[in-house]
Amino acid sequence: MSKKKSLNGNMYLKTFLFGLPSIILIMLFVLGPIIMTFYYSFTNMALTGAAAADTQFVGFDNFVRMFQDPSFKTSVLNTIIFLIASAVIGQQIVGFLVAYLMKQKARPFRRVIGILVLAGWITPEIVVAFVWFAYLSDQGTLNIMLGFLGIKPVAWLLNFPLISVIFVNIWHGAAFSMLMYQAALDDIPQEVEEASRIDGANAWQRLWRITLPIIKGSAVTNMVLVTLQTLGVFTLIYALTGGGPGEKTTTLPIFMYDQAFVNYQLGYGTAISLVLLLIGITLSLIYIRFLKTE
Amino acid sequence: MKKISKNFLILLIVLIPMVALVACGGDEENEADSKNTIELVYKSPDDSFKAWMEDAKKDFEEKHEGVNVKITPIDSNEGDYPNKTILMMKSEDTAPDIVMEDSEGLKADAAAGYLEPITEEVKNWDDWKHFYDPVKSGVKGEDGDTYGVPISTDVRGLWYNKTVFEEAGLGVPWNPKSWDEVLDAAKTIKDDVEVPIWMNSGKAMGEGTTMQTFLMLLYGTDSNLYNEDTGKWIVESEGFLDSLKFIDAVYSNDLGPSLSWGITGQAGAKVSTDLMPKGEVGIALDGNWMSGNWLESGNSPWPEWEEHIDIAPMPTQDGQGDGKVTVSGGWTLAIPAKADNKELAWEFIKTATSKENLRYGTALTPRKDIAELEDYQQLTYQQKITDYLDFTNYRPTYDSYPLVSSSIQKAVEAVTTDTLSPKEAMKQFKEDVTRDVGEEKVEE
Repeated sequence: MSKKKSLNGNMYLKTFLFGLPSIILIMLFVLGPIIMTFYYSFTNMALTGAAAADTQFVGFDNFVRMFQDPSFKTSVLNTIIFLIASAVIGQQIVGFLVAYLMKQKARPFRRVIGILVLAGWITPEIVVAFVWFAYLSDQGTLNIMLGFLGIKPVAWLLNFPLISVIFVNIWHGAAFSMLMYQAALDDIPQEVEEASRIDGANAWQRLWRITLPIIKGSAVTNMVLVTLQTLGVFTLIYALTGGGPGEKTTTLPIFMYDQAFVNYQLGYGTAISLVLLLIGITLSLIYIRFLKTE
Repeated sequence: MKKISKNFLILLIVLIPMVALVACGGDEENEADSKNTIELVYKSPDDSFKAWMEDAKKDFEEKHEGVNVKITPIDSNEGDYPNKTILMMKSEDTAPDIVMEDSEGLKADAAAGYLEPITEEVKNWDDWKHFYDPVKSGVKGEDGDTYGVPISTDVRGLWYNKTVFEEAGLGVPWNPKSWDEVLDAAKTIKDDVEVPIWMNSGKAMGEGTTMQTFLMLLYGTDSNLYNEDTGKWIVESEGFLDSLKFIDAVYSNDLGPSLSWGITGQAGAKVSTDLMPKGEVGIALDGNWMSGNWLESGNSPWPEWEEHIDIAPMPTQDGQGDGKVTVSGGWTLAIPAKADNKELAWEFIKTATSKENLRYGTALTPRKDIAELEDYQQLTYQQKITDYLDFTNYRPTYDSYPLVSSSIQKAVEAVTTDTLSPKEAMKQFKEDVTRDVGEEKVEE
């Protein structure tokens, strides 16, 4: 009995020692920056100017200022719209639909469609932005095609900026959800489906009563991942609209960048990033909670 | 066999992070080498700066044996360049010996302690008296010390289409005496051109909207943006409101560009490279560099441009003061506080900005003696434009200037797009700036 215990203790020590380098690395590169972010968000740190030479602790000043700033409210609202429309609804539903419709179809069909959808995902954000800028611009492909139908050109990025970036983000991200749902759908045991079919369930009932409940876990995981990815989208929006016109596409990451690197207010920008982090954590917790309760 | 490979795997897991940690340490710079090397960083691409520096380097290395001047380009746009150089200047390991510094960021970088004061050096330098006085005042920090040697400057004015003006019966050369005369001229040519008057009016043009449009108006009123005596920003004034009203008058009378492209980031390029050569712009309130687009080496060569386009100084509101107004910026050479080789750096700056060497493309020269040279005056309108330097203004580019400037752009765009009335836009500006810089730093 005692021998077994000491062996166990030995094992723990060993495990700890072997894990130590990784723990140090995680502390240094993951936990460290988070703690620093937390600290800096309570300072008046600046990239240049007198505050850069003499950074001071300013308490909750940054947060007070943030909640008084109408631009902050606008960007929170934009972030929520962007998140719900492009990630929670857009990418999830498009991804699921593509995966569901492709299920049990002929292999060449799956392959071609899969590759087409994946193309949007493997393209780097900045390239996606350029491609879509060319597509949506005044003399862009879309307007030329509309011209053939006799429709006057529309300044998409100017008149429908938020809808445009939402659409582009769905195009870019849907493949990720598709892959997740494909894997989940493939895991559904054939027998269950067959049994329900024999019991006389129609396609709609099979989807609603069988398929969805089984893949619920994957759906929530996917929701968490897609939400976090979309919360951080910067390049796409910045390259397409720069957050404009006005503040129409200014989401929190763009607002944060503007404050930190255009207005040189690093402390303020850091405080905004902290809020972004909190939103991400809160949403993830809600999703996971939702998964656990049922 | 299986056991060995497992242990080996564990060994790898332990070793790889350690190697990664060790690799994080940097190389030590070679001390002996750095003593005779000075490094200069500049915003790239800039062929004329590069060509000038290569010449200066040759001259300097001939005079100082064994010295090596390293010219390092920093590829970046207008917005990123200050960030990149600041990060370099923050550390002794990466600070260059000379930095090409925008006069816009100079005051803030000086206050942050990134730059070395060179007040004593310029005092003992004979050539310093040849620089224009307003330009010299633009390179001073908040503390009154000098922090850079100007290498170029710029002014803003009213480019106008002579052909269009003549056809409309307006006198040429045009010399408007007040804002009303500018608006009247624009109204007269309203039906002849696509854009009667062009001016940067959106957030997308960033500083261009503040400097080329708003400050050109505000400095022509009796109000100011910053009170030098109290060190406070003036967030509400008659002149501020009048400036916004002028912008409102332009757009509410359809004298400006169509907003579908007129407030986007591409608008400036469309005007200078497309619409102006087509004769579709009557008046353009913009920088002296605009004609650079039409040179043979420019983006949109237009050999006959001189026959059609001329420039007039922007008048003050009702002709008060000098009767005309302009705003200047420009670039400098400065020495970072953490530079290794400050003495040699100063020697190089003197050589590079001497009367013989300072040849920076078609940029306006900050030196009076160069402005008198024949080859300088050969450039079209160069003499006339250089004369604007006698009455120019510099921006109060103190710490909070970027914030104030952003708020100005927001107010201008709101008036341009008719989202807010001039009065409401000024109220919003007041609230924004008061919140951002603090109540104790603003006044009315």
